Amino acid sequence: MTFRSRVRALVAGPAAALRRSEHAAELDRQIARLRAGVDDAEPGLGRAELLNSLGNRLVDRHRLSGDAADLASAMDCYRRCRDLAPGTELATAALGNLAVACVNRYTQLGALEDLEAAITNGRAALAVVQDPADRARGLSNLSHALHERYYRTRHREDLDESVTVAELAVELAAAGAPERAAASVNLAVALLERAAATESFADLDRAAGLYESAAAITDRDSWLRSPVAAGLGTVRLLQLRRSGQSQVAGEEARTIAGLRAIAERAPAGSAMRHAAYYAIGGTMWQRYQRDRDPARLEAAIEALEAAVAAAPDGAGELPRYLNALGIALSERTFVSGSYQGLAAALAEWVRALNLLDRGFGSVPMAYKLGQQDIAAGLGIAERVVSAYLVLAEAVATRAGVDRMLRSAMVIAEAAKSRLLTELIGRADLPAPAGVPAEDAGREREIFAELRMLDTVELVDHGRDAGVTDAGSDGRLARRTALRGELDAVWASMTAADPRAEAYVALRRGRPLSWETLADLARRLGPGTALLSVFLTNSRTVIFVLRSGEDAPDVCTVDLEPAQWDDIVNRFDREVLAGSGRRAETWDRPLRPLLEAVSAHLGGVERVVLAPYDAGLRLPWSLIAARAGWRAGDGGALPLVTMESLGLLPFLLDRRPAAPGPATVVGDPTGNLAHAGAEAARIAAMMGVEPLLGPAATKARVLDRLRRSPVAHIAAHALFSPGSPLDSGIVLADGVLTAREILAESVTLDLLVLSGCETGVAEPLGGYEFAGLSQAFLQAGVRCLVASLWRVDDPATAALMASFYGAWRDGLDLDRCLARAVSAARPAGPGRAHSSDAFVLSGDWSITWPVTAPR
Amino acid sequence: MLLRVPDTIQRPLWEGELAADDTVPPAETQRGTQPVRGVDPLRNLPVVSIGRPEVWNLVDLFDAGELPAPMRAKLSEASFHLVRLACSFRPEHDSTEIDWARFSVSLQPDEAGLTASAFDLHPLFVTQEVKRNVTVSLAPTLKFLEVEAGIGSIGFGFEYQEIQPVISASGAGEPEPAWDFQAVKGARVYGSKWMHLLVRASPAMTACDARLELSADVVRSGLRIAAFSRPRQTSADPLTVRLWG
Repeated sequence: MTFRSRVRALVAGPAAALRRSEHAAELDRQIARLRAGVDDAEPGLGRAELLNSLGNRLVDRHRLSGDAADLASAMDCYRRCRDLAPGTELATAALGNLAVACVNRYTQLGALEDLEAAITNGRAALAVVQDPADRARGLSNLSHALHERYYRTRHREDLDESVTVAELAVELAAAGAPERAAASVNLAVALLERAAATESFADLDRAAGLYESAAAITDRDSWLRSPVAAGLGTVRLLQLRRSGQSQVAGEEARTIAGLRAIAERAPAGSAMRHAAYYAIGGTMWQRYQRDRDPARLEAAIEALEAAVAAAPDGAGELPRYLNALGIALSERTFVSGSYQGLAAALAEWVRALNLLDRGFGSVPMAYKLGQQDIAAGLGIAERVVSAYLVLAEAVATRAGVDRMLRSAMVIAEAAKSRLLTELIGRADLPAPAGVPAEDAGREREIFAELRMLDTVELVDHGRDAGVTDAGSDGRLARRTALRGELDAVWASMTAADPRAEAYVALRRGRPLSWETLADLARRLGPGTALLSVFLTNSRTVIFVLRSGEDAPDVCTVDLEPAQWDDIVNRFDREVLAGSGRRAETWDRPLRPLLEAVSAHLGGVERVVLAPYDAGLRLPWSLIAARAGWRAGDGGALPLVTMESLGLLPFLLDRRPAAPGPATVVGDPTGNLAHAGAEAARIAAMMGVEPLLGPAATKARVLDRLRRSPVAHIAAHALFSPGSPLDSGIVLADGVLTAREILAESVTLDLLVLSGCETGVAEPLGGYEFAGLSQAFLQAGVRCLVASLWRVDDPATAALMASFYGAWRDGLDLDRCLARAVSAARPAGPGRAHSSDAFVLSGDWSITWPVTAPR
Repeated sequence: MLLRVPDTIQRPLWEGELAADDTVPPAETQRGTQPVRGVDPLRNLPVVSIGRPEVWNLVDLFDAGELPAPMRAKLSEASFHLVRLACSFRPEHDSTEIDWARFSVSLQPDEAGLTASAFDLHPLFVTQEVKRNVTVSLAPTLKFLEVEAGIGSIGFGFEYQEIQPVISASGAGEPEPAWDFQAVKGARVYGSKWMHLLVRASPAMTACDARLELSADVVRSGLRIAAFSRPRQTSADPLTVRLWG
């Protein structure tokens, strides 16, 4: 039986429409009767039964109409039923039904509360339900919800659990039963997603088999018939795409026609409708790539536009659809030579970015990281930046060019370390003078609670085998409530003092704006250049922004992602491996770019640079020195490295630490003689007693860190690849990890981590990097000095003596480090030195603590 | 003229076991933690070979009157030599793999202080898939140019039977060109590797020596060992070889 004939059988035109219309009328009558029954029934089991039945009929009607109001009413019925008959089988059934309705409403409206409620209620129901058919239904629905959550969080654990749970459902359901068909569909959906993630043909073929078996047992009038047919068509298209054979073109065309028929008949907003259009669009795009026939391109665009139009704003798949549509639209520019295609693509990609960023401030940690992972995985920011740069070359006016370049730089910086920026943005900042004290106080309390909620989740990140349900313990609801309350507080602040608007804008945690970047450049003055490094699909870009400029200068070099992999790989082998035999070649491809940038650095005395992705691992000060960047006095140009330029305003605005004695820690493990001497020397300069050797326990060090304005730790440290939050400093009685630090409040003005790899970070999701440095910055540190690789004990002791000596003499911290590193660097082109590993992040203007002797 | 790359190294310059890199600083002097090394991890490292370079003066590779005008112009400014280089890797234990290797050439200055440089290298960057039957010719700019089939109107080329990813070359325009070989899923750093180098030198440079070296990261039982081709002989350096003159 071909797919087309199967579709004809499954969704037969006028007869099916007639049946649907008769069914809808019958449902309307049943619902009216049940509503009247509920109103008349006494509170108790009888009314609970009627409420459960009413909920079921409302869900049935929703399947036909797509009206979300029916789902809301159904959910209300199930909740009332559960409350009326606690502890009964009926209450358990209602709980399971509630979970089904929750996930259905989530797929339509996209509210995370519904998704998490579906998972929480589904698990609760499964804990008590015994009947195999009911268990199969519950497991199947849980599988669906977990799969939907995977769309948002990209946690493989969710996807794998979705598969496992659906497999159990298929096993439990009786052969030929409707639950079996539904479970098969959910298992097939999860397998298809896993096939996409792992490129597993076995999962794809297994999904096809499941759809076939579901089709064989689905009743003619079942609501499942259309989803089964749509799934069959989608999986067949994927199989045909994989085979890539020209003789299957006829079957492909027939399958597309069948899918189109399903999509057109599906209720508005249903996943079936937009998924079917997306499958058609993807297939047409693949065919266009094979034969370059412009008609195929237009067909792909038409189908993808239909998918985008059909998907509700909250649909987890929508960013993927928008990205695909943008790619197809941008191809029009290459076909026609007109930039209109690219401009249209840009609009779709920007919408995708905005969707992914929507609600960032109030969603749980797993979703925040997932959103960034999705954006990075799709490469949307890269496409947007690339498009702006291409369009900047096409527009005729200076103002137009400036607008494009401004937008490109903002998108580039906003893509980096979004979470860290938000978390640091919640630190205690001084509120403007005109803001009522009670508003400032309430804002502080709300941020403290939000930080606690985030920290609880972040500290557990990557530690458990499973995924913590964000809806558990009411955390999600609490987040939403706090966010609403914050909005009210901010409204009150700006009403009281319009000058508070800039402060509120900073605190909102919205994506970076041009105004923020321009204000930052202005605030830092003409002697500082802000540099943003970014990588598009084919070029590496550095944006250079200086005070008073209307737009950044842009320098580019043809250096694509694969070449960046090569740069980082060479860096690993040549510098990190520590071999003195290997010539350093890693920075050669970057030199032309940095030489081009130097033309824009006239009069600059300091550079603040935000690397892109793996660029965070590289010593940019060393690259800059090799490219000939110099300060006005001919010495090394101070360079401050930031995860994102958007972080800096928060660090500059942080409230200074309270005065107090410095914390100096040295050689806690007793096997680093120079680290011990380094600590003793620095402690003497600061006029404090150092914590040396066995005295440097975790408890003592943490206790002092909480009370000090400045801290220096000279110790062994380790970076934990694959689990960056387990990186830490080795103290006398154990490792003080990044996880532990995240839970602390460490409001230090300056922290120097004088150990190995203390500045190394790895992504948690997308371009969100984590490691010791990021943990300390989040915990409250304003300025941090840390290392990018393993450092030498005696060389580091000498470097630190030089660094602190210069600081005591009154130099800015970045200049102190630049001078100390430059002095330690051997003459000649040479090799990366141990001292080159040290980088400085944050506020360089912190002065020598007044309590310490000069 | 079409130069075919042979199956195996015909004339080895040096063959031996890699030696652990003695320039890697000891863990005791660093402020980090180190993995615990197993028993004798530095013994029985992989055996490698370095082939004797084959060198052709570019003008000898073309028939008289065959040279295009732009090439003639370049050849009047400097001398160009095509150098074929080869090395091979043979890990002898199942638990040992070469994760990465670099074949480097250091063009030595002559007695007058003149130094040759790498004008172009091939292969330059191979990341995606195994390439088979690759024919390379020279563009009029004297840069290597992969051609579909045959050697076209230029009249000269060389042919590889196979090029395996990942290869990344560096050092064009400099006297120290190198090729990096990186293991990837499904493609080990194993067997013979062939490379071509176009060396540019002053016409006054009548002789040119080059020092060849292999450096590798060997992975054994999860431990990474930096190693290199260290000749056992101490009286003369067998890895420095005369290219011409």
